[in-house]
Amino acid sequence: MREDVNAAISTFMQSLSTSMGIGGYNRNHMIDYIPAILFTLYDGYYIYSPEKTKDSNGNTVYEYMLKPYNYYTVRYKQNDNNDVIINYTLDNYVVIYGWINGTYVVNSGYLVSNDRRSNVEQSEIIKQNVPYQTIPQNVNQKFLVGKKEVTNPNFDPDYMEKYGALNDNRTEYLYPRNDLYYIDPESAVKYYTNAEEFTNWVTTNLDWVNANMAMRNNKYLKNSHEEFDVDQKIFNINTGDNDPEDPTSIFAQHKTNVIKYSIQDNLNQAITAYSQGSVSTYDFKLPNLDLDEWDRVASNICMLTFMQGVPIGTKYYNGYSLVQSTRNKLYVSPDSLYFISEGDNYYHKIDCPYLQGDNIQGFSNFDFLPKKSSVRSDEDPYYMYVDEYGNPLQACYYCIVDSNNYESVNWTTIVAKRKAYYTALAREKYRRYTATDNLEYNIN
Amino acid sequence: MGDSLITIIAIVLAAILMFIFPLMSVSERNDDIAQLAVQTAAVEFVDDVRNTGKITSENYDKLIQTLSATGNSYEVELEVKKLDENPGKKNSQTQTDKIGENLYYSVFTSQIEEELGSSGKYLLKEGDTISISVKNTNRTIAQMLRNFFYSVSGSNTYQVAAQHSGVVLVNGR
Ligand SMILES: [Zn+2]
Repeated sequence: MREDVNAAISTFMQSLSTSMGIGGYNRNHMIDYIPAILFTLYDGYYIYSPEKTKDSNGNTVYEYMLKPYNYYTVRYKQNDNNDVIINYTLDNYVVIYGWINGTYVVNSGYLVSNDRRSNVEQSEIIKQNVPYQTIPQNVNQKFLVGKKEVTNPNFDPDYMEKYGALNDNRTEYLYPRNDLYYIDPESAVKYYTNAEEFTNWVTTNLDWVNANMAMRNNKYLKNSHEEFDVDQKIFNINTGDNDPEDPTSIFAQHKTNVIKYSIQDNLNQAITAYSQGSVSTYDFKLPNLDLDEWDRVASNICMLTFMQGVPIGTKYYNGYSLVQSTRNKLYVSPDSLYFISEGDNYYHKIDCPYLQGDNIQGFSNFDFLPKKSSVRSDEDPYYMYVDEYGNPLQACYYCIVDSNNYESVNWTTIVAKRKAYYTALAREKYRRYTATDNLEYNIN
Repeated sequence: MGDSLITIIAIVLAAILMFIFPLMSVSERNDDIAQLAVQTAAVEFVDDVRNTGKITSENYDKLIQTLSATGNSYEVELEVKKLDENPGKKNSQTQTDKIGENLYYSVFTSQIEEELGSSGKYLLKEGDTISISVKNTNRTIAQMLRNFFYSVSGSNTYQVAAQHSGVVLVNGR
């Protein structure tokens, strides 16, 4: 991920100076007007900004660098026996480590208040069009084959016709998402089973955690930010005012504040440090983002770029740009799900009246983008969802391409849609959960 | 190129467009006060649309009022370019690591105004572009003088007062 962010920054700087060069700006000086770039990811963020270092002659210079990854963490200390660090994420997943009742613990999972186990698909059959590597000999192996049903990754005559003998060792066909590719048919149910178990553990062991205990760098946040000066039990999970999946819940609001002030404090520091060391007489300052923008930052993968002090005639140009990514494999938000229905060649948003039928399934919008197997560069892109003739499904013109064309329907009252929605969200989160087993957390 | 890198590069390009459009329009405008008011109103209107993903009757009315407050009369032209990724899917030449091979189709002022009239808002999505062009419809004194000296004729006597455009960053709702 670090390399990706570095590559993105160099693309940004290059494109920016090229474009500015056309406008008569000096390419090399463009970077001087950018005091910081922020990248927010699923469980933390990067800040790219100038850092004070010494050059070979011992002079103090400022060099741009990607600072170490910051997790969305905060510490809650009640006493020496109850002292934990919580790593929040863009959704209801949390990682907990520290001392609880005098014992050191590490635990992680999704927090839920609504057990929707009985409302989701108990065992899903998912048909995806994916390139394959080799045919698994063992039917229980974690591989998907062609347009196979995941419940039984076995022999498929159609598939054989298209790609030749089943036992070909076609290693050039790599799985685009490797470990993420296997979809457990019971993902949705397992999501709720795991989440409920974890939530019970949290409500019993972290019932003492209060918003006013939150601290960073050994300082109480309530002393500097009034949002934390409240008596709120963060992990008193309930369907009333604290449903962790509801963005207006106590948990979600508190989490947004944790993320917001962690980013704000660190950005402020970076920009102020730059201002002090900059040759420019311009006073660089972190502009005020409004609440709506902070909500976007705390719930999406974002890039926030500042540009300040660009001289234009007798004035200075001062601006920032907040761009979010809603189509990525790092994070599935409820808004980023598209739905397909058997026999329909279009994919839809859940509330589209043209999404009909009893067999509805939802997937991340990322899955509808063209894919490419990574080794064979001459290969045409392929699509994961195709019609009976193998043609890619298309975006609905009523709800996706131009959303002025439809009357939104209340999907929560339609059984097939409700089931499809909660199944898709739970399945995608479960896939993420099983993939994060490999993530390393910064335990210190 | 990895999937996540493509994702990040795409948002990087959007972030650049966010800076370049205002910078260029700022550097090209002259210091005439009325001109400045018109340009500022156009920039604010477009940036609001980009950040909210919608045109509302409220914002559109506000724009029209700001323009008429300058004492001149203006004609406002809106153009929304709708991103349509479907045609690209039929084209086997499409490359996943090339961004911008999609098609756009345009929607113009009258259609947008019609939608504003019926529902109060016109929705856009991430990746659509919005552009505005504001033209004088009365002849300002400067224009009349110029026409007198250079005898400009024909129908093209508009003076473009302001232009601004940009990529929409969020799905409107
Ligand atoms: Zn639709």
